[in-house]
Amino acid sequence: MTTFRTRLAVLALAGLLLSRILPAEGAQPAQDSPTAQAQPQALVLLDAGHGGDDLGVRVDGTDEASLALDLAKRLGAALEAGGCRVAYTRDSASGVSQEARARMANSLHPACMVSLHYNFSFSPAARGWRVFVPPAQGKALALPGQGENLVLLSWDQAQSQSAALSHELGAALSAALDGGSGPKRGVQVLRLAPFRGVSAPVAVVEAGFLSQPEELKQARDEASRQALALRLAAGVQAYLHAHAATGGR
Amino acid sequence: MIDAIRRHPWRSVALILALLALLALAAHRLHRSHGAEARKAAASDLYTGREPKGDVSVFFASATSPMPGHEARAIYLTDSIAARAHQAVQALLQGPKGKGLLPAFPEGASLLGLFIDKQGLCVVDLSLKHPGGTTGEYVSLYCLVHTLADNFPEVQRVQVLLDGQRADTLAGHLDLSQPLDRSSF
Repeated sequence: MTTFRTRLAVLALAGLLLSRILPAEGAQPAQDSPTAQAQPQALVLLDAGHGGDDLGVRVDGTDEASLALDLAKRLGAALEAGGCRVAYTRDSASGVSQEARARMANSLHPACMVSLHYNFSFSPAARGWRVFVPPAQGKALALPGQGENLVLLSWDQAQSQSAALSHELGAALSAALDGGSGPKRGVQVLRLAPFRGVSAPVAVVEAGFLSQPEELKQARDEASRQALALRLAAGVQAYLHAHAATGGR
Repeated sequence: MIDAIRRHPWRSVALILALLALLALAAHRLHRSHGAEARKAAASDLYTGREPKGDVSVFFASATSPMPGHEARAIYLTDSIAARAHQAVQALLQGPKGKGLLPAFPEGASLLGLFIDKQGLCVVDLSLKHPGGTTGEYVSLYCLVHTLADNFPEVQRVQVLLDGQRADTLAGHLDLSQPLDRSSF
């Protein structure tokens, strides 16, 4: 099963790379195109964590899956108002497997993917948001005779092509969440399940600790979630703006 | 007696059902008690109690810092490194004794088995219901990996199983599809 999945991922990623390297028939080089300056609307994939039977963190009748979905929809609306296209890995309470989330990310070719969660800690000292990005792990394997035009990647190495951009995405989100006044938390590099198999630039945002009474109260408050969504939208827009020349990728 | 049953058949059926329920409850409690004894015996199979004792550093969540702390706990210095590691992980799951530290695993978490192979892979089979959160899982796994790798040079990597099965995560966040080591954190 793993071998089959790896082969599928290799084929999908190889196709993706070839489609980017080889111009379509009749296509003009980008610098000669009259529409080169007009960037298409960037697509952002929003991933509300958990769902279905998996409710994530649960505290006093509040669950992470519902809050993450609400935050994703608010962020999506803010991004659309700013001119982005938005897709969701889930737009209802139903559950979605990690494989399905990764498949969506790899077939839609989004400019970036943001996975939204709420946090838990055993320690009352843990407070505030966290941003996580994947490690740059694994080496791409060049196919003999193909030079650098075609590389083979296993399912677990899908991020190796985008790790640097993921870090930039995380930094943009972190800066927007800081708002210029909060503590500079930066981004934390960690191997998380929501990154598995995703080739697009991706970051996980843990929006606050449901185990912390004040932050639980904020998470339950619609106005606080809306304000948080607007800050996250500013972070995504900053990332997209910095990478406008490549359409976000 | 027979007349009483004939006069009140439903009352008799209810009485019999109540007696059967009481018997089932008693049997269940006996079984649980026996299971607890069996588990206790299995734990004491790790050591004879005649071995010398030595301290290991066991990691726990900190009450004041986002990063975990550690405290010294005495274990029996058995010939088997796996038995020493088993005792250290049991101490981790039991929770801290000193002030300023908090449990790194949820109440009820238990260690089903542990072994170390010749390549330095320590397989830890846990049974637990983790509350989740990236930070919550991070602290649990950080404490597990550091408790093992910091005390036992034989342990290079840690593979976590849940109830004897490979697991993707503890509760949806940190990726357990590959073994963890100190550089994972």
